Amino acid sequence: MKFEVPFGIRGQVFLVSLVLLAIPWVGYRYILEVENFLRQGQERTLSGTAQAIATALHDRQQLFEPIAGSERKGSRLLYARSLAKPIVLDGEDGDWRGQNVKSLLYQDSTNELFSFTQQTGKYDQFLFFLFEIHDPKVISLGKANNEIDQVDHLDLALGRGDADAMRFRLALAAAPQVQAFRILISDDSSERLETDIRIQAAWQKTKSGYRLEVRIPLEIVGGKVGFNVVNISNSADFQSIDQLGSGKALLSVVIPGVEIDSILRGMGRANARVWVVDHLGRVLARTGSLQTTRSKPTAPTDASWYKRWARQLHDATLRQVYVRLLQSPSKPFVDDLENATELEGKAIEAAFNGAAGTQWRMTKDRGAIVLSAAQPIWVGDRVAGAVIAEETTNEILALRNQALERLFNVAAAVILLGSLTLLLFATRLSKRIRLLRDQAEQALDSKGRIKSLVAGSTAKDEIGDLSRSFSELLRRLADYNGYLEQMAGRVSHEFRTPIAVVRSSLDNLRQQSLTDDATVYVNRAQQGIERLTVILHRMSEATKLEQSLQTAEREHFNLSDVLSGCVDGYRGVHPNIPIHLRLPQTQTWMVGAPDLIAQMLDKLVGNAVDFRHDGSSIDIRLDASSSSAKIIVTNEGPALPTEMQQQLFDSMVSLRPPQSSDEAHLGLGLYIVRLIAEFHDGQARLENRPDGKGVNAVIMLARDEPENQTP
Amino acid sequence: MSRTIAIVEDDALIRENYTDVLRRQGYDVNAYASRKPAMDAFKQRLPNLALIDIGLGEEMDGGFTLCRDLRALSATLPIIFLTARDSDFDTVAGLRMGADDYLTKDVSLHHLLARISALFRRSDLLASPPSSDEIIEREPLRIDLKRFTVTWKTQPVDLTLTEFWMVHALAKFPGHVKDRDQLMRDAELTVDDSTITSHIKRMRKKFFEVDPAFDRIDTVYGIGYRWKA
Repeated sequence: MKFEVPFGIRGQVFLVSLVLLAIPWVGYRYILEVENFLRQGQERTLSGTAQAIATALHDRQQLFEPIAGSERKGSRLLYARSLAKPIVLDGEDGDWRGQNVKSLLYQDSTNELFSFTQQTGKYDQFLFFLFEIHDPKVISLGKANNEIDQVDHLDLALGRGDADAMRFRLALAAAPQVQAFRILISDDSSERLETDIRIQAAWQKTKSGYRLEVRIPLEIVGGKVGFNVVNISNSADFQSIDQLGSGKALLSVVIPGVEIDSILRGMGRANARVWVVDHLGRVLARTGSLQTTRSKPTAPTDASWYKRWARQLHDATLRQVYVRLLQSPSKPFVDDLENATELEGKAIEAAFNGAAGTQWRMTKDRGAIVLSAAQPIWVGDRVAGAVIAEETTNEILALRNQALERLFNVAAAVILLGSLTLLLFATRLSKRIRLLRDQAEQALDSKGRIKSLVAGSTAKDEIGDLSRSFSELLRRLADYNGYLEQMAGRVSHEFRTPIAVVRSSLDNLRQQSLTDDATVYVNRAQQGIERLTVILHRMSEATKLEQSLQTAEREHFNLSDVLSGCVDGYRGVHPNIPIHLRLPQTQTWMVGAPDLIAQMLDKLVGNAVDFRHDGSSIDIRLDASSSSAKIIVTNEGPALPTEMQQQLFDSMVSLRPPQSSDEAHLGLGLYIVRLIAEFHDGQARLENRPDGKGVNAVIMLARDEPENQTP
Repeated sequence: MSRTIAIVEDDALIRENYTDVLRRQGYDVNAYASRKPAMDAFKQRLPNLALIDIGLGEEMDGGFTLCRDLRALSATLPIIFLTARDSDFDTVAGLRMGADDYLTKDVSLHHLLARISALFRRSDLLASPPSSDEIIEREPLRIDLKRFTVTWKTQPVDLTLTEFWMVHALAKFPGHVKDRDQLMRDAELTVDDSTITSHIKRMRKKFFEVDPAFDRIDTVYGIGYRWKA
């Protein structure tokens, strides 16, 4: 019988192999640790960078001496970069290009036709402005217009505060000339224009309008600048004046020192942005950019096909998972501080309080995490400003992702391989065990006899050991079984001598002249010894049969004749029992020992007679095919307990109730039947009749080839 | 002159019992416990009949050896195996050693005595002419009840006493089926069915040796045997 184990070794090993899933988890934890460590390292490095720059800037009062600007925090700033190259006032923008000056757009949402961009820079002792004005119609001074107010012009305000500002007006004359006036206000509040040559400017027409370059000496820039571009539009009957710019309020001009810039450039790091701010957080200098161009790793094309194939497979499967799971640093992000003029934050506040500070922040589009490290710059015992170094964690993120990908690849491979190996191992193990089980099951045949021993496995492991133990166990069991089966024979042999002693003594006694009383007892003893002798004969019958089977000769005989002869005999012995015999039409010849067959039949009919219900008949039937003959002896009687059906054919197993008859029954009858059936390459079995009213004894005998059937 | 019977038996009780019985019957009895002293004595003087156990003390097959040696000393000395062993194999082996009969120990003393006297009678009468009233003729079988000899087609068939009685029982009433119990009774044996079967087989074989066409002993399956007329 085969048991399907619901939860076999394979299942168990599979469950155990789930432990392998800890590998990626542990690896993930480890990489996170490393990432954390790297971030701390980055923090320290960045802090160190900031500190180094701050150290270079300590106690350099002049760098932070505000060239201009309000002490009031939050005032609007105009950031004037130090220009690397000189500017020629010619209305061309060629000399501005490449100077890395940011351009600010001014526009009026209500008027699309008029807008301008503005750039500011500082060179030598001058402040330069470049205006690119979008103006479909440029009106300049000429024959038609000689009124300053009636042409496109630029109003400038320079001063320390809003109140005491000097105001200037720059009107377009014949290109590239620009006429500059100082606007003076009389006591009666009327305006008066006065040519002022301190401010120089030039203009040129462009495709969309005109370009205006302005140069102002730093000494007249009080620290604040205001500018408004005034656009005059003339139509047939209508003149409009549009004004766009800083408005009434002045902008604080921040002019970082050249020295800070050069220091920053010298100390800046790739992939890092360094700011220097003054004590109000206003940006004095900046270098570097957070946006780095990362070259995408390109797949080598010269790899062999299977590598390419593996990469494609990897890109198509695992990579997709990684892209989804891992934060990818490679996508561009929006740097919201790119054009900032003022900085604030925890780190900077810490720096202003005299301590180093670091801060992590997410860009607004959540595209990158930026690390800021701020260090105070000391001038004397006062914090004059701060150095802020910024860096994205993209480098680390990329590193981490790479590590994670590699880890997951390796883990996936290990899990796959490991599980497969374990599964194979478990399969082999369970196969061996099942083989052992099957062998063990087959070692006991249907009759419960030990037919053949489990082939001793030569394996040196526990299964081999188990197999060998099993073999040993079965061998001992077989020995014991053999011992039991020979027991009867031995016992009878050993009893024979003492019985002979008793018998011969009794015989001797009998030959003496005995009293009548003594004769009675001698006779009784004699009877007892006779019965004992019969028992011994029966006990040794099976053993003797086994011995005689080894030397028995086979002859060609007619089974039908044997059966009919035997049945005639039984009818003579049991005249009161109807015994029916049914034979096949043809004579059934076979090769074997007819005496043994008759002996076997004796036992079967004897059983049938003993177990039948009174008055019922005994049916004997012979069915013959070309290869076998089947003898069925049927009687009505009590059914057999199912679990005993095959055991009954073993030596010394009996269903007869104890002392059911005077004769000794040792449970050897069916054992003899089995021996004889097996001698004829057949088998014997007992089965309950389908109607449950009796028992069939079925004997299968092998017949020889058909050509030998008739002599 | 009283006859001498040698008993070679390792079991003292049985030996004594048999000795007593045989002495009471008027035989001279020499009892030996093992093969060596028995053989030494036989070399000095042969007994008239030997009763030998197969297993003699340490020697499992000492009786067989003794029988063979004894047969070498005398071709005509009647030898009976009296043993606890009752397997076919031992029976055949014993008879092949040249024993005249093979009895198991559960044979009654009465039977044993009958066998002994029959064997004596046979050896006595081997030389004297047969008398007709003690001869049963079932051509071509001829049974001499005095000498316990059987001839088939004038050729002697070498049967043991047991076999002789069985042939006698069968051939006395040809065509009558003798069942095993009857045969047992006639042969004065207390043995089981399979022993009868093997005796019949052996008898047939002995007749085959004389006449390969012999088919007179007929098996009536389930009942017994009969002598075909």
